[in-house]
Amino acid sequence: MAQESLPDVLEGPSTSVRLTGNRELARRLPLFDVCGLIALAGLVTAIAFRRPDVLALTTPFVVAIAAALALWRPVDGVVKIRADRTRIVEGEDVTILVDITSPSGIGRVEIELEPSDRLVAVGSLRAVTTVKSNSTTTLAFTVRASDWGVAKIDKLTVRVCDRFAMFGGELDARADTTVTIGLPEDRISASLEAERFRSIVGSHLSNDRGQGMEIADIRPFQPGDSTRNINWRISNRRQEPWVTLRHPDRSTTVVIIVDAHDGENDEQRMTQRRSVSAAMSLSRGHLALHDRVGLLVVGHTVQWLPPKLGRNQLFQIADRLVAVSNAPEASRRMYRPPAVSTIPNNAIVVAVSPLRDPLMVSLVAEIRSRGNPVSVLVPQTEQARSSRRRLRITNRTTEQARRLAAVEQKIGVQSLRERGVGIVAWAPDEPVITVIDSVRQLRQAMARGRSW
Amino acid sequence: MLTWHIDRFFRAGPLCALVTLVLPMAMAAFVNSQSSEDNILGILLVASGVIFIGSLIGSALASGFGAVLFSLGTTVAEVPVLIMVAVGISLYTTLVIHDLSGSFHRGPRVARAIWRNTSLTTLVVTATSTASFALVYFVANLTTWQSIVVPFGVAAIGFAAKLAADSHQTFGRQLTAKRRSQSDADNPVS
Repeated sequence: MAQESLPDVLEGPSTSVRLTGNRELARRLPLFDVCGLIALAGLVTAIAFRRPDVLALTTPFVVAIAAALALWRPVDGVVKIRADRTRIVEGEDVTILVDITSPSGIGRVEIELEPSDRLVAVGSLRAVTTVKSNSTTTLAFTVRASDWGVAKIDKLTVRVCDRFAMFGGELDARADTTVTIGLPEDRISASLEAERFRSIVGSHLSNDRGQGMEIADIRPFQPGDSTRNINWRISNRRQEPWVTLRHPDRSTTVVIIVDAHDGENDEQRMTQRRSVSAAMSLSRGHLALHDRVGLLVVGHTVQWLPPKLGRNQLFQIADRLVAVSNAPEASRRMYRPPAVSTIPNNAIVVAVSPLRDPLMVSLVAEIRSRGNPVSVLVPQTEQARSSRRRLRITNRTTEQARRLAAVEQKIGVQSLRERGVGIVAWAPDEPVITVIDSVRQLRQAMARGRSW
Repeated sequence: MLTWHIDRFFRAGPLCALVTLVLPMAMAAFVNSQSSEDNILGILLVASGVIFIGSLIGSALASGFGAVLFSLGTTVAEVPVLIMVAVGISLYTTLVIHDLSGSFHRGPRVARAIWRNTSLTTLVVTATSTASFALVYFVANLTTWQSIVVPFGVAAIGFAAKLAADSHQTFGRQLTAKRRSQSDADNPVS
C-alpha cells in the first residue's frame, strides 16, 4: 500500500496541501482529555485517601501525558495529490497518488479521498500510515472511470496526530486535479468510416488537374505550363519536355454542431453519449482526410472551436465533447451563438440534435439560409417507442405536454426539410456507421433531385 | 436503527472494539479471582461494557468513564499492588486500542508502521510508568506519607514561583521596551 519510493515519472498536474503552521492540526485530541481526567482522579484519590498504591492505576496515563507534552512538535509537512494519467477512457483505472512529505515526521496520518460521481473506488479510499522524518510516503489509490465526462477528486481529507494520539487535527482540501474520461476508443473507431462519409460531403480528390501530391497523368509540355512540373526523367527518355499532372489537393471544411441537451435521466444521457460519439467519429474521419473541422456545442454555454486541421484539433474537440456531459440544467441554455457568422459559407454543417427545441431548429434554419449544406442526425430515445405504455403511469397533463412537444418537433423538422436540410432519424439501437450511411444516401438523393 | 448500529460496529473497527471488551473482561476476571470483596466482578464487568460501548460509538469520553469506573472497582477490590499495576497498564492499552478503532473505521488500508509504532510507544509508556511507580512506591514504603507529599508541595510552590517570576520578567520587558516614534512609523524606509 504505502510505497516509500516511486519513480518520479508520473504525469499530470498536482495539488499541494500545506500542513505546516496550520492551527487546526495542533488541537488537543479526546485521548488527552481522558488521560488527564484519569490521571487527575487517581492523584486526588491517592492523596485524599493516603493510598499510594492507587497511583499504580494512573501512572501510565500520567507518563503518556508527560511524554506527549514533552515530545510534541508542530506538524510540518506537505501533502501532494496527483493522478498518474489525466486522460483515460471509460472503464479504465487511474491511480491517484498522494505524497506526504515531512521534515520532522508525523506519527500517524490518515488520508481519505472523495471522488466525484464518475469515478468509482477500487478498494478502500482511506489509508493510515506514518511518515518518518525527512522522507516521503506515497499512498496509491485506484479509482475506475464509470462514466465519460470530466471527473475530479472532490475532497481530500487529511487527519494527523502525534505518536501518542493526543495532539492533532483534521484538514479538508479540494483537489484541482481533473481526469478527462473519454468514450472507449473501440466504440469511437468502430463508428469511423472516413471513405463512406467522404462521399457525403463530396469527393475530396477532384478529377481536375492542378497542384497537389498525387500524380494524375503525364503529357508533353505545352505553352503556359510551369517548368516546375517538368518530369525530367521522362523528358530525358523521350527527348522532349514532358510535364507531370497532379490531382489538386482539395479539402473541405466541416462544422459539427452538438446540441448539449440535458443529461438528467438515463435516456437523455444515452442520447448525449450517442451525440458525442457521432461527433467524435465525424471529427476523426474528416481530420484524417485533412479536412478542417470545427465544433459548435450549443447548450448551457457556447463552445466554439474554429475549423482547423491536425491532431491537436482532434484533442481539442475531444475535450470539448467530454465537457458536454457536465452540462447543467436547461434553464441556462443559449441558442444564439455569436459564432454562427464565423462559420464559412462553403462549410458542410452536420448537426447532432434531437430537435426538441424550436430555438435549435431556428439555429439550423439560419445556418441553412446562409447557404451551407446542412445535415441533421436526430437521435431518438426509447421514450417515443414506449409512449403508449407510459400513458398509464403518467398523468394527463404531462402526456398532453409531451404530445404538444412532439407536434412542435414535427413542425420544426418539416420546416427544415422544406429548406433543404437533410434530416435522418437515429434509432437507439442503430450504430453510428449505419446512420451516417443513411445521411450519405439522403444527400445523394437530394443532389439528384436538384440536378433533375 | 439496527442497521445503523451494525454499520457503526463495522465502521468502528470491529476487531479493535472487540479487544477493548475482551481485555478489560479478562482483567476483571483476574482481579475478581484475587479479591475477597463482594460484587467486584459486577462493577468491573459493567465498566468493561462501558468501555466497549465507548469504542463502538467512537466516544473517548465514554471509554474514559469506563476506565475510571474500572479503576474505582479495582481500588475497592483491595488487590495486591502488582495486580493494580497490571490493571493500570491494561486500561491504558485498552484506551490506545480504542483510539485505533476510531482511526480504522470504514476499513482503511493500514501501514505496518502504524502497528509497530503504536506497540513500541505503548511498551515504552508502560515500562516507564512501571519503573516510575516502583520508585514512588519504594520511597512511599520507606518513609511516611507526609515525607512524600511535603517535598512535592515544596517543589510545586517553587515551580509556581518560578513561573510567576518568568511572567513578571516578560511583562516588565514589554512595558520597558523602547517604542518606535511616530516619524519612524510613518517613514519605515528611513
